[in-house]
Amino acid sequence: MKLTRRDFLTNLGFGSFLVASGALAAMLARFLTPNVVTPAPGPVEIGSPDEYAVGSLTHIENARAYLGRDERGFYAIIAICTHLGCTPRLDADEFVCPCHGSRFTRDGKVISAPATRALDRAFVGRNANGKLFVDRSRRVSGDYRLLA
Amino acid sequence: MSLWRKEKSIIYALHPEKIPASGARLTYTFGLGGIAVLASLITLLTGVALTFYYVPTPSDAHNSILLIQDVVSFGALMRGLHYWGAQWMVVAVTLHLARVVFTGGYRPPREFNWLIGVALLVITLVWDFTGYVLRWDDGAYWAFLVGTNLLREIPAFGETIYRAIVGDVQIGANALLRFYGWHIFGLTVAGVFGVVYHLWRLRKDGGISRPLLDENETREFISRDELFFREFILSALISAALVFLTLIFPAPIGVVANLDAGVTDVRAPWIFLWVQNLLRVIPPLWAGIIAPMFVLALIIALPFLDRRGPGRAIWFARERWKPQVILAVIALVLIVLSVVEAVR
Repeated sequence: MKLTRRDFLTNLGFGSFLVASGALAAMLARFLTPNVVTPAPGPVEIGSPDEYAVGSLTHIENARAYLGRDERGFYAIIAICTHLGCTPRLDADEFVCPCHGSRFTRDGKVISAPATRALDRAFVGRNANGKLFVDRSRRVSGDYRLLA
Repeated sequence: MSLWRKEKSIIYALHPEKIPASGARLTYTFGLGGIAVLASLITLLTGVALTFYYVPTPSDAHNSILLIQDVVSFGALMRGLHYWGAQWMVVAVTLHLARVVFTGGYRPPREFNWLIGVALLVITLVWDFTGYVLRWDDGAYWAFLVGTNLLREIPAFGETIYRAIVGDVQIGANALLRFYGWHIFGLTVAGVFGVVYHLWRLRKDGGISRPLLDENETREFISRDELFFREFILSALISAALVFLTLIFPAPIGVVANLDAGVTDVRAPWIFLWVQNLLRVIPPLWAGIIAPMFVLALIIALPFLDRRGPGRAIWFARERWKPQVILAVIALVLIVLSVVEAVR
């Protein structure tokens, strides 16, 4: 088949239109994607180690986390349901998610679905002034403890 | 000179000269499409009014609604009409869709208009959800959190889609502003365009669907004036009912959202209760993304599952059983799931 000049120019026109539309779509998608996002939450200072007794589990204000202490030391459980991100409440030694009813033990292990993964743990450290802090942007394993 | 000439009015232009009497019977359409348009108009106008007081920021959103409710003159009525208008829209659009299926109104040449109609249903639901989150109260916040986190469950592109929609890595000021933008402007443009297209296409497809005529049967028509008169009466009654509803049941508003506090119980907005129920039992990707998409795909496909036979514009015609049964099953499943979740 011989390509006439008219066909060539028509194809060129439509082709350019398609390319331009694609570029526009890509531009829009990029435009919608933010270049500046909320930074990860930093460390939250929570008080001296001796304010928390062995065996206690304390809600930390404004950190979406609970500070626990056992014989081995301090740990922090992040109060974000691993199912879809709601804040579970501590209810008679169990974390219960208000959205879809997932339940976790005091240690954050799954008791009942729909969640399938244990609650995440956050880093607990000690500042130079001796106060504890919880840093939710640093996830640690369930074995992690800050030695008392 | 007279300023008012009936034959030059926009109302005249928007109505056909005559429509078949069968199509104008109340028990054929129940006026559901018209009710949806009326409800959306009321919602649109009251929405414009609400923008004068509503502040789309996390710190002020909830307070500005309390201001509208408790301080602004007729603010509670305005917001109530906006709320109830939106609920009626969802109900009317859904029932209108069901009416079209159960009377075979989608039959050729109206399949394309069916697709526009389904798009309008989706727009209505998104409109409803984006409006719900603007309340920034407890319920709205958790629905927002769960709804947006579901996007992250989409394989491979989840996080990209999440950022493009939420405008951040978490819901907050950016997300609220975006949903506000979509709610008051983006979806309004899409919705108004869709409704105009839907109505225009209805005219181009030959007006309201009608049954085939038997031999030596003549078709009866009603005039434009009669049609408009009926619409006017129905609109007046519906509007009055909306006002009464608003006065008796004010639009709900909860306590301000607090991410830090673990709340006792969270309920999705009623249109998504069935999704919340599914989320309790099956993985999020299946419950929150694939299941709704599957239902939507089934609804889109309904007219194309039925290509034969007459039975147009007749309620529950037997030869078109397939789409009717499928829709009835979908409706039954969604209603049962929702009711179970609501009484949990």
